[in-house]
Amino acid sequence: MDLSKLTISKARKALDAKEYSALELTNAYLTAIAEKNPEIHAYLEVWEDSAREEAKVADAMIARGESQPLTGIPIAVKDNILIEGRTASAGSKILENYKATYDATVVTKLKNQGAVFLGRTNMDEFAMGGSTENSAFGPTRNPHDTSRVPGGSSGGSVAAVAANLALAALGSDTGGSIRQPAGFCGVVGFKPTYGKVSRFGLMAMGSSLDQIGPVTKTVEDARIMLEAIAGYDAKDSTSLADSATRSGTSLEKVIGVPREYLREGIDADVLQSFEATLARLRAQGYEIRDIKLPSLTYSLAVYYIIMPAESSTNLARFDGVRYGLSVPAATIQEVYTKTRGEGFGPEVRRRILVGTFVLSSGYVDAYYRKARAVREIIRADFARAFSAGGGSSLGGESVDAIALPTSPVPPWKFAEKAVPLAMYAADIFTVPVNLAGVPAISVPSGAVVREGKDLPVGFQIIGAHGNEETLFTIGKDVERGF
Amino acid sequence: MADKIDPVRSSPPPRPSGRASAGATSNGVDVRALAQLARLEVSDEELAKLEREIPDILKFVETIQNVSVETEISSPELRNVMRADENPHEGGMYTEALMKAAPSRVGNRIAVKQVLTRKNTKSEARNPKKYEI
Repeated sequence: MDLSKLTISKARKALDAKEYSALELTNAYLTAIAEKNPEIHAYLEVWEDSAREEAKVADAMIARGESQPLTGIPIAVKDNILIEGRTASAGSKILENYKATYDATVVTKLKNQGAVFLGRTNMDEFAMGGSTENSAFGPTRNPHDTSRVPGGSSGGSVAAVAANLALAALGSDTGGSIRQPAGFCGVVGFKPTYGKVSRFGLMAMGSSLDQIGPVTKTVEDARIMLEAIAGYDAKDSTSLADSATRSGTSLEKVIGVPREYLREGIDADVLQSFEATLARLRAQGYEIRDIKLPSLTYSLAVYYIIMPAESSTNLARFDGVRYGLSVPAATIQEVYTKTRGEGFGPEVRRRILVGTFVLSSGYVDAYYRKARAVREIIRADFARAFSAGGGSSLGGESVDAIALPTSPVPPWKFAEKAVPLAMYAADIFTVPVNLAGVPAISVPSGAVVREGKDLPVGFQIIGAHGNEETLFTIGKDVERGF
Repeated sequence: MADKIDPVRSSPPPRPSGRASAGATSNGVDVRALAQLARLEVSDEELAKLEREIPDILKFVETIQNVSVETEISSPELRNVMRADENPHEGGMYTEALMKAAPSRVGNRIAVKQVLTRKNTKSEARNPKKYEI
């Protein structure tokens, strides 16, 4: 079987038709991993034995005629999603030896379908970063050019799918951590509506921003994965009622483009590629409409206040007492400071300190509360773009979706963005989506050339709250053009 | 206590929700005090680096001060969701699994260094063991 051509849909048909068994499929991936993972470093740990056992169970399900969409499908899981009894380190020294005590809801759902878990994938420590260079266990390499980063923070999950070391993977997206690496590695990355997928068992980073989502090779596969993991969960108080999903909304085929936001900070050929994809959509009958999202300019600044504020709060739980690393010291105060000082890497420490500052007495109003207020303006801007505008003084743009490049630049070389702000700037097109809580997808859309190598470019489509369906429709139309 | 440390050196706190002065907030960030607040040990070498990086980050995010927010906007998407306090699981069901994750335990308790200390008490001098509470 040719893994490079394989998708979930194709594997499903082949497994159900008994062309090959789930065990054979899993073995094919394990062989590919043994061969290529030492170079790519997508996986931090591979679970060969249990994967084979799970594949056998899947084969039995298929033999009984109980096959479900993901039965026997080999997938990879980001290292910040819990699987009971398995190490989950979030790419951090502080959790290097931590074993999860329960299954994340998404994992339970995948287990129930008989999916096969190949291993856990590398990531920027606690999902903080856009290159996977912040992993405490060494970076992942981009399969398209191993001298370049795969993007991040879900770099391992994305590289695994792109290098055919998994048929699909789970990632998490707080400010672009699924979409940006998917764009960098030429695969599909999906960030669902905030609350669409339960986060029970996902290590919290920015709680008002985090979402689990799929990394796949095709838009159809992303839909299959999303259907498997989505749904209300009583264990996640932010999870949405299933009725919040819009279905059957008619598509007017209008895509809005906030061109004022594309004027600077974007590589010329990346912009060219974006325009070329828009042109292809126009040829398929879409209207491409210029829209205004005036507050978008502030999203990066708002994000880099809210995210560190929430992260520093969430990471307060790592104190060397209940789990993870504990550095012995004379007093409890020193146990805290030494454990956190040794356990957290430089970027995590930096964000904890920024978060502590913006929440500190005297500055919380000017930074954190102000950022929350500006966030609401950003959210309102998005809502207005999608609304028909009846009764609104500003008028709605009534677009079906908004298009933006996934990243302003192609994947960069290792250590190229050593200055924190340089790395943060690459998140410019993805963070507004998390601030607004809306869904978005990154679909492969051609390539740009750097030093003689083709580097993938992602095309990002952003949908209205609860309307993932439109993204799948438009995403498939983008796919069709390539 | 560390919590009373002002993370910004010798500058008056900005007016609530007023425009923060970029100079005051960006130049005088006391990273050591922040690290203390965050219970984070930071080496002198790293401190020097952070004293350059953190003001740069704060200067960048201060651009939001240019946005005028006239009225308090509610956040309907972010709300507390409470559940009824009922149907508890059987006591002790998860105890062993959770205790296993603890770095240090004594029986069914997590062991930590003594949290509260009394100064110069004779009993403490006689009994230096501080691992349990």
